[in-house]
Amino acid sequence: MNINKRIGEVVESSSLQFTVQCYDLYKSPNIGTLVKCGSDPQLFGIVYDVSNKSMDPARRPVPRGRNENKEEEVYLSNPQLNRLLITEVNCVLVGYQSVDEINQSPVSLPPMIHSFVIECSDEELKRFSSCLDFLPLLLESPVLNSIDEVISSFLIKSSRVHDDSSRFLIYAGKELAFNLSGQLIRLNNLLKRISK
Amino acid sequence: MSLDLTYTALQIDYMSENIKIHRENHIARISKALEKIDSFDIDHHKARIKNSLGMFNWNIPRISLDSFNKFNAHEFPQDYYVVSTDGSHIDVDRHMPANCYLINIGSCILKYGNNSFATLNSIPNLYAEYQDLIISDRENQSKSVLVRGAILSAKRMLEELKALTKLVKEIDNDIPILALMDGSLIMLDLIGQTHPEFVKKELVQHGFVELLDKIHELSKRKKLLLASYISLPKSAEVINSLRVSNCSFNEIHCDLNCSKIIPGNRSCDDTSNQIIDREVFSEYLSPGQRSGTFQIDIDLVNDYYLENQIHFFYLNTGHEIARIEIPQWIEEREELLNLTHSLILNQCKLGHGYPVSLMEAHEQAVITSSDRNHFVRMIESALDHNGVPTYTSEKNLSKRLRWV
Repeated sequence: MNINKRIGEVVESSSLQFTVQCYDLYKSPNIGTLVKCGSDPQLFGIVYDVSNKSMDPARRPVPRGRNENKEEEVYLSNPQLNRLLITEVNCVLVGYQSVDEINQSPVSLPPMIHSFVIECSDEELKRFSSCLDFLPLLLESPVLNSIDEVISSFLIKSSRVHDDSSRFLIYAGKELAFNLSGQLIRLNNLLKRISK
Repeated sequence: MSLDLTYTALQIDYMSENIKIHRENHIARISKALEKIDSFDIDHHKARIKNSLGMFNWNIPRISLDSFNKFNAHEFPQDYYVVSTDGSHIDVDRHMPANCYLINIGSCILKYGNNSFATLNSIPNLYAEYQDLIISDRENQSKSVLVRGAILSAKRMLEELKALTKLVKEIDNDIPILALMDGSLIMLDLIGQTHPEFVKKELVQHGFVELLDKIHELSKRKKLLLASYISLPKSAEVINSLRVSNCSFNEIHCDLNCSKIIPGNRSCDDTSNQIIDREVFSEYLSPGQRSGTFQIDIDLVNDYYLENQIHFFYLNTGHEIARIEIPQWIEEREELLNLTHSLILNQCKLGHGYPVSLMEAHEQAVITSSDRNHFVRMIESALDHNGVPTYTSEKNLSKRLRWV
């Protein structure tokens, strides 16, 4: 059974994207995962980048495992690392829910700092992905470099929660073809990725 | 105009040439000091001190039979705690619109072994009440001094130990706990300055030493170690003690015998002039080894520390020579002394040369220049919000608004 999971809190946000600091080191959703945050309206985002780093940008991690046999032992011998290293997730905003309706369009205000960020359940993903009007938002997003990888991951995840995954992928393929009519090579690559 | 670096560079060149010229003599003195340590005769040393009738002017520690022995680190248990605190402060500033100071205490608890974890924290405290801003004589309330400068540094040290005591008290466990402070266990800020006696009584006797007593009491119920770590120590107490046996006069009387001899030409300068303890111990101790212990013999400790006399040893961490200070109750129990040695050495290994717990406590405590600016702005804003007119000095204003 899938339950909603709270992964962390928003630590930086704009009307295009937001950054989440995860509660636990290395415990983050994968690229392409649908997450939600805030309330009234609830905002939806798709994870496009995950990074592990030092909490303090001025303090770079140094190698610590020369005398350890396993990587886990580095963390056991240096328990402070779990307090000094963080996992951050960047999400692109793809829509919002007002009352009971999901709108796949740009948001007018970014999420508040410290908004709880929750990984969407299968049911929520199924409901959100039943319409792919947000695809142009992603395809033209100025914030992403490897956007096609994010889109294909999202579509593959979504296909798994739909009753007829093949039918969903065909629908997704048509939507991509419509939005990438002038970019045949890119469309071809994306279709190959989601059909694997 | 800013600093004239071209002119300064010439002076730096001259300085480095000068250091180079004296380096060979310096190294020769270190070698002689090492020879003296190897042939150190403690009975002769004690007899000469006794005969000097207090006319030996150098500050030296009390030396014991094993002070110049070398000790290797021992095995230590897998499960243990290291608890450290460190502090920083924003001093009273007459250019600020409010009379106040801030002490920020950073702390770090590291649990090693099973269920290892870390807790990092910092607690800032603003002191602005009248009674916080002064220290008054308990016996004569009309006598008081302002808390600032060296006295504030001493108060901060007191707060660091207070936080450390609270943290170790809260640990309810039978496994060893190393409580580690940064710097000295002596309130050095109160030495050599003309502070009234009641300030020393308040901060040392009624403050620091009472906390040392509490930690000692706690150590009777749990396996608790207390030590402080001095990185790159500049002290020369041990080396100065070699002057005793090097003195060429029959009776030691520094003022009478040597007041007219230029420093560097006295017989005792042969092994001790301008060299410091760590330069000698870096040659004397192998990586991981510690020296024996020396007891600090200064008035502040003798007068106020009572049961908590402070001892120290030098430790070759493999990266530097550190000076470790410990209270008497650690020094008296070989098992605790050895464990202190081993755990601090391991802290240095884990911290790439400096105890990791102290490093993290420091990181929690540090107040950056940006924080300091924000602090002043917050005070100005809060006063403004409450309708209190703010002010600053024309001097401060001229620094903020630099114009031609």
